[in-house]
Amino acid sequence: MPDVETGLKLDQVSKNGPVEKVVEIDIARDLGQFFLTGNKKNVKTKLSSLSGLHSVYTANLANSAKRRIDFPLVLPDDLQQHVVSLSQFIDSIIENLEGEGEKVEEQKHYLYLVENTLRQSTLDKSAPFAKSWEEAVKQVATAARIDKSKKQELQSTLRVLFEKNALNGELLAFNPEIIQRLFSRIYSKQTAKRSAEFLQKSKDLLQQVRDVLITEFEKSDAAKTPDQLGGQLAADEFNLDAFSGLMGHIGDKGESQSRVKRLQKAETLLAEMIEKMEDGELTVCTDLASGLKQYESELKKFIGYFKARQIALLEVENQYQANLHDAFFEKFDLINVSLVEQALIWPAVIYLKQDELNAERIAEILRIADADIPIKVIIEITHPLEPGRSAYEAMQSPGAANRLLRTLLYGNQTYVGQVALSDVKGLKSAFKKGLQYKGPAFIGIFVGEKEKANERYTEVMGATHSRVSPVFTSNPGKGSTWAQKFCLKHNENYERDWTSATAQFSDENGAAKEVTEEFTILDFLTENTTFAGHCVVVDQAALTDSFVLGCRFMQKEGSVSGIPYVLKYDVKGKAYAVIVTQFLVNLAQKLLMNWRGLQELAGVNNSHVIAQMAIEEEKFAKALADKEAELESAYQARLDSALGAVADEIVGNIAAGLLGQATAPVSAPAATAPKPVAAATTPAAETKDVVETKPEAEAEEDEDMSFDEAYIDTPLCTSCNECVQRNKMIFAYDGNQQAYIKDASAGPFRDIVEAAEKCPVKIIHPGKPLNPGESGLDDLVKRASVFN
Amino acid sequence: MFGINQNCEIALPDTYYTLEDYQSNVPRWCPGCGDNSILTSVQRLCRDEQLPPEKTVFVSGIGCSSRFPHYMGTYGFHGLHGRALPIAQGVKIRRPDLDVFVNMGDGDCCSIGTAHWIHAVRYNMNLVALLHDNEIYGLTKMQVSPTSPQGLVTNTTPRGAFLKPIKPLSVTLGISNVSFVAQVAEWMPELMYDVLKMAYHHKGFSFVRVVQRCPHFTPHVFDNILSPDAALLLQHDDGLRSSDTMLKIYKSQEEHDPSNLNRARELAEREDCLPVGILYRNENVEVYDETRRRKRAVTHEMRKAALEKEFSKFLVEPVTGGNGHA
Repeated sequence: MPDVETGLKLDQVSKNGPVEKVVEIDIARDLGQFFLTGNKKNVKTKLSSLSGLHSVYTANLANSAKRRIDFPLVLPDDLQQHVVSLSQFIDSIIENLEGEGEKVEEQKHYLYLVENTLRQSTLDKSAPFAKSWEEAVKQVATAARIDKSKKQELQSTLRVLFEKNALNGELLAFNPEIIQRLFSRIYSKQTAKRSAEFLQKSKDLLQQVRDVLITEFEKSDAAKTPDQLGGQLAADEFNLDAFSGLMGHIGDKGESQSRVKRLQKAETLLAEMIEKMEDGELTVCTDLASGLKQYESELKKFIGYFKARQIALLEVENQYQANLHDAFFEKFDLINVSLVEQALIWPAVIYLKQDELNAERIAEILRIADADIPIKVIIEITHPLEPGRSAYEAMQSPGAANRLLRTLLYGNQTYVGQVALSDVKGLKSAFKKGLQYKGPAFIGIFVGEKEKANERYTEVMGATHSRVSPVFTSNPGKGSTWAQKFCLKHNENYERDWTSATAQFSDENGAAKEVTEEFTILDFLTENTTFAGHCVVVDQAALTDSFVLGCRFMQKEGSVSGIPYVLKYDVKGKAYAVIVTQFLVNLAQKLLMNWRGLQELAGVNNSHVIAQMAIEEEKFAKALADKEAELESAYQARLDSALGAVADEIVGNIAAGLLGQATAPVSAPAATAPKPVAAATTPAAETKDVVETKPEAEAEEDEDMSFDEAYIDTPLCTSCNECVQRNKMIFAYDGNQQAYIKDASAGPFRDIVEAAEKCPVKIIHPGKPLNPGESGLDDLVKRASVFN
Repeated sequence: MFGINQNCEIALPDTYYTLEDYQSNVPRWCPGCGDNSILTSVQRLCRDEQLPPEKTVFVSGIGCSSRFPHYMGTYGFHGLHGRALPIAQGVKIRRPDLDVFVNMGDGDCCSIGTAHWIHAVRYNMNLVALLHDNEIYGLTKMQVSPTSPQGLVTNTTPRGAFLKPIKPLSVTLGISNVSFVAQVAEWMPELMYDVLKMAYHHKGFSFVRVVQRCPHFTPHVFDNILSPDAALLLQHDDGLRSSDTMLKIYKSQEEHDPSNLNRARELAEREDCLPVGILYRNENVEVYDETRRRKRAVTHEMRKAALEKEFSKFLVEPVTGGNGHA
């Protein structure tokens, strides 16, 4: 238990006024010095111990064995069955439970107990599933508080349930050893799937080759010896010697012998290939050089196989022509192998540990990545920072393996994945995609360095969630742009700098308490004992305004002044502040920069976009302001001119009024006003007569026009042909096949009047006759007046 | 019509069809006949929509109006009396790429072809059907038609028609799957053009009744509705919005939502006025030629192969080798 005796009392007392003389310690000054120098010796404030304290996030994980985490994994022997977690397996049993009511609930209860027992026993050490189950069942039954007979029954029920959902296999513990198991399983599954068709075809081919060889033997001299012939004929009276001699002359021998040789060679190689592919165990190399060497030799072998296959294909069709094909097969190489076949060539698989990554190896890896050799490299990352170095050195280059992976990201032809051991789904997907990708693949797996599975799980989850070792993949198979290939989405809240977590505590009195805190890189680093020297612990209540929470300090990148601290809690939920040194903050800052770099690649907070947006926004704001100013000035100009006009009019009116009662000058300004409405609204009594007579005069003018000229309301014409057929010279159709007066003078007025009378829609207006000499004009004008 | 695209090349359609391209023979209808008006409106529609004449078909039955295909410069089918609709449906189902129009008279549609009419509405195939309704048999010289008003004296009813006329709009609106019903009068060319345009763009069976005078036999039958006040102009944002000129001439107007079937039926029943415009329109009715369209295209190669297969059944192969002969 942490000792809680701090500068708190002293400080509070001094605030309330110095009642009695005490030794005053300025806690901000004291711990500020520690923040800058990292020297613990000079700290005068009373400190607590760091042990037994947890961040909110890790407090949640503290007892993984009791939580339903993904581990242990169930690895079935049967290749066709999927790898599932133990929880999934138990859930599937529960789903299939028959019956209902109390009995099922009871079975469920015991199944969960078995799961728990299994997890505790196998989380650290892998074991055969059936055996572990049996043991767990026994343990559960023994512990159960029921009758002995019922215990027997319970055991047999649980046993039956297991057999029903039988899975022969193994329970995989949570440790790095499972990586290779999982990888080789996925590899064999993929290979089996991919090569199934090819294998079948090759087997058929092999059979054909063997058939051909048998017939070739029949043709050969060896088959024509008297013994051989006798074996087939079995006739005593037959002269086998003579028959043999006779048969010996038949057939073409020279060509046949070379053919047999070719076929025999092809047969051997094909058989070898089929055998190799069928039971192909993956060989994993632990160093680069041997991996590459093995790849070279495998490649050579496979090219040999494919060459033999091609030869066999030609031979069974009897299309092999020595003069043509010999030269070709002489130079047979990788470029002659089809893409389908190339995909079947085994990749070199290399398993590296982080501490083996010296400068030379890293250089070698970068060279391989550039050379497009389809090797698959798995790197086990034990520590997010450089291993085996002092904290100060580590700061210069945090995480050699993580750095290597980040560097590899920029090679466009390389699959790169960084995953966590705790994330089975991510692990499987990275292996699958990495193997499917045709080029080199590098998969880094953060496994942590703690011995106990429980602690290891906390460490791995913490490193992933705090962004110290984030999860990402870059799959060039999906496309060449970052948006297409790069994926950061499997990190929780990947748009944010870090995630937050909630934990529940219950204090001495049993009162529940819920706390939500951010889980930053700084929080993770303070969990690591390597950096214990960079932390001091005080009671949270002792802090003054001079201290800032680590996440605020980091987010603002130094613009927040104060001494950063992170919060830790003991099992009862009491909060303690951990003051860290500047060194640790800088380290965290550097790791945060790495994370933000990854975020930009994934399109989060893209600085180019943000900058461009700012420029565009500025442009837009400027355009808006310009437009506003323009409108304002235009409006002002209009307002000024309108005011001027009104002033002129008023002055004119006053002047006219002063000059006398003459009507003419009064109407003059009104008439010159821009709008005729102004004239109509002039209320002057003197001008009334003038205004009233005006519309009459206009109407008269209109009437004169309508009477004079003939016209048609063309848009209303129904194209009935009535008028056009009457006189084509006067009436015509326009582009819409509607009638108009083409030339009223082209025919007699009578035609126009009669057309108007006949028009079904009455839209022809004859107007006035153009030729005064036309006969019967009076009558026609009278008839026309109806339509005008 | 013409546009300049971004590459600064003038984008011209290969051919631009003028009104003349859709005109064929000089119509032999009487001067003043309403069919002329319908013909012009249809030709204008074809031109404005730039329907390729070789991809457009007019199908008709028998009657004055059924001479329509002769006067169109497109493909046409002058069919049997009352059988215009089944022919048009046949054309459409085999050649969905064609635009098919149907012209029927009142005798054609409402008398001998009534069964086809009812089922054509029910099938709801993508056609435009025009009912040229002059309420008389004109081609056969003035006999009573199913739409003739009660009391009309004709050669077959010298004492006046004694049955009440059929109401084509009410009938159509009562059939299931009805999707487009409109009414216009031939003396409103602008409205007719607008309605035809909507009918053409409607997906499904568009039924347009065109009230049409016969200047020779029924010149005065429509006297009571000829005046602009007698027409009731139907207006709606989902239907038609007429031009200001039209609105000035036809003062009596109603806001009618074309999706309101009950109101459409009420309007169709009205005898005091002539409701013109879109009565009913529903785009969501299933279209038979789309739902029943064959999934597989029949290519020339497939036809040829099928023919070859049939022919080869009759192929007489020369017998080779001597043994077969007796």
